[in-house]
Amino acid sequence: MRRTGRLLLVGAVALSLGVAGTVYAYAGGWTVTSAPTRFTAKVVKMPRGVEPSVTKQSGQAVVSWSAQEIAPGVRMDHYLVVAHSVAEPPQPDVTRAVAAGGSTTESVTFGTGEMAGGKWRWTITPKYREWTGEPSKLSPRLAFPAAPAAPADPAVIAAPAVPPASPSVSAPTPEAGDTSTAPVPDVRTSPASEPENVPAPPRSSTPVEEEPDLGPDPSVSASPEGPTSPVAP
Amino acid sequence: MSKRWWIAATSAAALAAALIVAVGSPDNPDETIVLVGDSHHRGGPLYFELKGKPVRGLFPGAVKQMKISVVNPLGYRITVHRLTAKVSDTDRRGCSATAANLQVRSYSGRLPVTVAASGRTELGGAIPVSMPIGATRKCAGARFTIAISGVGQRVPR
Repeated sequence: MRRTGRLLLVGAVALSLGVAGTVYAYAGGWTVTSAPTRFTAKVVKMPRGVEPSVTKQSGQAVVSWSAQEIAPGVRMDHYLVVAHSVAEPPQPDVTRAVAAGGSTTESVTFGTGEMAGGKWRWTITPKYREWTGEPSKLSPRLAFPAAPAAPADPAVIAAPAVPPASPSVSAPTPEAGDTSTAPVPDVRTSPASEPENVPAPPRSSTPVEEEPDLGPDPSVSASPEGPTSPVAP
Repeated sequence: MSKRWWIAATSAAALAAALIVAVGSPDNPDETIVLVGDSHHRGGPLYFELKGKPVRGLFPGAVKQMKISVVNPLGYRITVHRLTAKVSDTDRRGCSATAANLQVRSYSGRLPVTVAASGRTELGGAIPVSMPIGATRKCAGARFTIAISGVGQRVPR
C-alpha cells in the first residue's frame, strides 16, 4: 500500500506539471510575432544646377543663380561654378567652389585677369556635404578683350576703366550669344571689350552708373583697360 | 502491479482536470476557438502585422521618423513587447545597406502596447531612420529596404 501511494504521487506530479505548463501557455504565456515586414526609405536625388545668368561689370564676369534646396527648407551648402572657355584655342576651365550665402540668390565674380582674352560660358553644380548634383545648362556667353601689356604705373592697375554696372542685372538673354550688361556709353572701352557681342536689344531697364567708380575692386587682380582709364585719385 | 498503475494514472488525470478548472481556461470559449479555429492561421504560425508609410526625403544628416501601426488579426488581445528594425537592402550598386549609409535606431515610444482583438493601433513612438553625413554620394536617389519585426504575447483574460 505504501508503494502504491508513492507511485500515485510521482505520477500525479509528473502529469500535473505537463498539464499545467500547457494550460499556462494557452492562457497567457503564448508568444506571438509579427509577420515579416519590409518598409522602404527613399533618398532624394541631387538636383541639376540651375542655369546661371551672367553679366559684365567693370571687365569682370558676375555669375548669379537661384539657390537650390536638397529637401524642402534645406539649401545646398556649396556650388561649383565653372567657367568654360568657348574660344579658339580654348583656355583652361576656371572653377570656383562657392559656399552658399543663405540668400535666395547666389553670385560669384570672376576677375578680369581670369577672363581676359576669352569667351566664356558658365555652369553651376550644386553640392551638399559630399554629394554633387549634375551641372546646369551652359549660361549665355561673355567675351572679354585680351589683356594689354602690363602698365608701368601701379596706380593705374587699381583703377578700373569701365564704370561698374548695377548688380541688379541678371536675367540671361534668350539668345545663346554673348550676354552683357546694358551697353555702356563709353567709347573708350566698348568697341574693344565687346567684339564678339551678338547684337542683342539693349535692356533699357538696366541701370548703369554714369560716374566711374575709381576705387579699386578687391576682386580684380589686373585691369586690362587700365591704360585708357582715368587715373584713380 | 497493473492495478497500481491504473490507480496512479486515474489519480493524475483527476488532478490535471482539477488544475485546468482552477486556471479557468475551459470557461473561455473564445480562446479555444482562436487556438484551433482561426481560418487565416489554421495549421500555421500566428502573426500580427506591422504597417507604416515609407520614409521619403532622406539626405545626408537627415533624420526621419517611421511611424508604425500594429494590426492584430487574431481573435484575442496581444501586447507588443519589442520592435526591431534593420536596414536590409538597397537598390543601388555602390550604396551598401550598411550603417555608413543608413541607420535605424530603436523604437522611441513606450512598450508594451496592447492591441485589441482584430484591432489596429498606431504606436505613439516611431523608429528613427537617419542618414549619416558621410553617406556615399552613390546613395543619392537610392531606395533602402528596412525590415521590421515585432514580438508580443497573448493577453490572458
